[in-house]
Amino acid sequence: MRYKSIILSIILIIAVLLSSCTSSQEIEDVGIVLATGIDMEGDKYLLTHEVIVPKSSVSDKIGQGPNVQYVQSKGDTIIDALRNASLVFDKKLFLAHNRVIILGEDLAKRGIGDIINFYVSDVEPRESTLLLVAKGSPAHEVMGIKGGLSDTPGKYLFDLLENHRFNLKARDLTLNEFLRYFLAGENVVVSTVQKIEQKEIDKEEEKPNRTILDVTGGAVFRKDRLIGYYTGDEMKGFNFLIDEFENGLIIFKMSDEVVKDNKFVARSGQYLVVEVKASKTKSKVELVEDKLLLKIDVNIEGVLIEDTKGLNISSQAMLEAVRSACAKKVEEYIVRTLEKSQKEFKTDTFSIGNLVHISYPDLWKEISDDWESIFPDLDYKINVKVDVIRVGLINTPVNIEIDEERLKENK
Amino acid sequence: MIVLISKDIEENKARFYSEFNNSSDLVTRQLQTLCKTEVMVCYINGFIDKEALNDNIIKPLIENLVSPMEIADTVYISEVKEISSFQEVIKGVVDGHVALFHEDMDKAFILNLCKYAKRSIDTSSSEQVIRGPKEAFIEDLFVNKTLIRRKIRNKNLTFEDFTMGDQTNTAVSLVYMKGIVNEDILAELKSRISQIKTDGIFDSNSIEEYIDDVPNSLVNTVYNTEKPDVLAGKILEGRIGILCDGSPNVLTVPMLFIENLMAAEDYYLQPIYASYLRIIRFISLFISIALVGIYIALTRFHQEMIPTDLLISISGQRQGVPLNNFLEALLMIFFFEIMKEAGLRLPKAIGQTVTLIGGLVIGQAAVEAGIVSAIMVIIVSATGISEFVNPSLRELIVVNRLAFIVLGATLGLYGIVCGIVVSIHYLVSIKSLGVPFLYPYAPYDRKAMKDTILRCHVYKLNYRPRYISNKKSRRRNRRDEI
Repeated sequence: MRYKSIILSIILIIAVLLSSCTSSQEIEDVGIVLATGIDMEGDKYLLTHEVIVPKSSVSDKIGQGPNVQYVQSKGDTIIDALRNASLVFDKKLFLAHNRVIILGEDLAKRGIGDIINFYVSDVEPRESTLLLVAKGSPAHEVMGIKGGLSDTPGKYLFDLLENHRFNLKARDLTLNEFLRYFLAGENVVVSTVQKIEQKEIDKEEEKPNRTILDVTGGAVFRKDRLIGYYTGDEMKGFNFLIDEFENGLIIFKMSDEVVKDNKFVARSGQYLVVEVKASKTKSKVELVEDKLLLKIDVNIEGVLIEDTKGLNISSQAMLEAVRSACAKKVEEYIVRTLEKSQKEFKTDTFSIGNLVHISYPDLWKEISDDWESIFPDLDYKINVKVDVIRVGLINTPVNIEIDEERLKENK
Repeated sequence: MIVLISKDIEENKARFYSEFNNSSDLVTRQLQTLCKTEVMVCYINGFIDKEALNDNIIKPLIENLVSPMEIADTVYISEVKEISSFQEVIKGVVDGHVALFHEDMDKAFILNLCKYAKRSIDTSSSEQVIRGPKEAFIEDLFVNKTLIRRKIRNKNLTFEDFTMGDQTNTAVSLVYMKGIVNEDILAELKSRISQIKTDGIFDSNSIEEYIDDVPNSLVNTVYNTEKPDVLAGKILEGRIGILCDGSPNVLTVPMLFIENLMAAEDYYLQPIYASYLRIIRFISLFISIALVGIYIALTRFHQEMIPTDLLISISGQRQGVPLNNFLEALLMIFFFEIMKEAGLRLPKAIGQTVTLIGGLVIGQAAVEAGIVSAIMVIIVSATGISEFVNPSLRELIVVNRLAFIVLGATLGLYGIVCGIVVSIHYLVSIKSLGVPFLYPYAPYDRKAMKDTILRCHVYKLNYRPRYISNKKSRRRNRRDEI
């Protein structure tokens, strides 16, 4: 018993001494960083940190939220700049709660490999930090803008990216995912953010806060360098291609012929909207007559969520027409994005090379080095199947005149 | 050396007084019977039923006794013992019996007329229940025996009496079910009890300390209860009860760790709800021991593990607090212990005031003055409340909590984990009268698991705990044996 307890305590003590996990820091001595902006100034990195100003809660009003302060520092490397911050800021910067890393556009164009290097290898920053590119501006210019209800600008930006699942014109990409794509030799599409001006609303306030942030679109990287941007609609095609299109909207038109019987009360509606409830994209590369062919099968289950044309959806033919029109639009989304990446960027941003690798490993060995030149001429075939599972709560559209026949039908 | 009883009453009287050093509470009465012989009754004042003495002893003796041989047949007393040594006389008188001497006889009679003031049977103060029997043991051994006998009306219910304490001569009684009890454990317990050499036993706790397997530990390996129904349940599982005259707390052995998390009421409630309560008690045990330590470990070492919003809130509250959170925790717990002790010892009326003032001063004013942070007050109070959920583990909780605070403050979560590992190792290592303390978890016994953290339906509890009771004993007969 005594022998055992001595052995046990020796093991415990050794574990303490060898793990070097004994450095404690008091919670009030750290500056909690919520957002980091990284820019280049000449040869040096310029880091902007958004640090929470903790207030003793007793005197605060509830709901006021914390204030933030910005710390800027320069250095030859990231860690150098981080440590230099201690010369101008009184608390140690604590990166474990950093939510977003914003990269300045100039920096992104020069390459971000060494930055990712630091943030992944250091123990403090989390791999779940979101990565963003400030479109058309340095990073520090999009910081400090609080356009929403979140407590801090950093949280506001983070929550905007979280919202992307309701509107697939954007994406969120964590450091970890970036690294995964990057190490697999694939090209990455990163979230973007830009400043936009809002129309003046609050006339009472002296200085109306009209600058807000917008995260539409995506920044396309070749290797670790920024080469261009996808627009919001192109991001839809992108999200279809990477099979992450749930809760997104498909907005499409139908020819007026299908509704020629309708007499519109006022203006005839133009658009129909299908909200995607479930979507599955299967991409496959096949060798057809010695040429690679990309086959994309998209299966969508959606809800006809908005209908401005007053379609009589109870007829099977009409439903079929809606389905095909919707499918055509999806195909259009995908083609537009594919074309852009093939013709403009000449970069495979959808990991299609990986599909070739899976299907034809031997072939991939031969062509992998030339993939960037093969990809722009890759043929593709898109097959979209849409299933409309629900059509909303009303049968009688408001914007068309109802004739007897239609009324009867509805009953 | 046995002193024989003299034939001379005067001599006996003188001896009687001198043995008791002329103690003032002795009473002797000499009287003449019908056959003109002299008899003497001796007793201790206040220890016997005087009316019964008058009516059932003195009156029949005076009116009816014709021959000394017929004394035992003359008095109206159910318990009459004829003795010949003076030591037995003294023992009988000390136990509250009446000694009867007769002229020209070298024998005496001990008549049981014992009656003294005692508390009536009351509800339990430490184990309160909403549903189920509410009566509790009192200080009197005989009443307590009756309470048990009334629960288990069975010839196999066996009481075995001992006298303990060289000076106090306290009556102690073992109670068990013959046939269910594990004979090895019973023999071990008897040998331990027979080795007790002490001046006085005033409470069952004195016995507990003597028979404890791990006397230097904070863990109790002897269970105590105030409720006859709890004791009866334990006896039916094969445990042995130890009743001590003068103590309303009855001990049971062997004890398992899991008994700390059980309450009498569990068996009178819905099984699902009872299981839920036991889980709550288990979580409370963990909270009361480790929560403060974990909080300190997180805030000193692992800030990345705290959700951001909470971290910001804690960081805000910590601004301007002069002590670091380790000292802050020690301070708060120190004052909490003082408050607890003050509230416990004071009369009820003042006790409430103490709690109120203490709660106000430490809870609110200290936070407002910036001496401690609000979150620490919340953590310490949560710990304190959880502590009261498991009263039988109080000593263990209070001391281990301090250990976990130190571990958390020096080694972080690693220290907490080490603490838990060492604690479990320790619990596994100890035994209560040869039964592993963590049974039925270690050693694992599937059949006994039905009444542990989860309480199954009573109709599923077919087997008694194998280590405690007689091997292979079932709680009820198989159908074909009925």
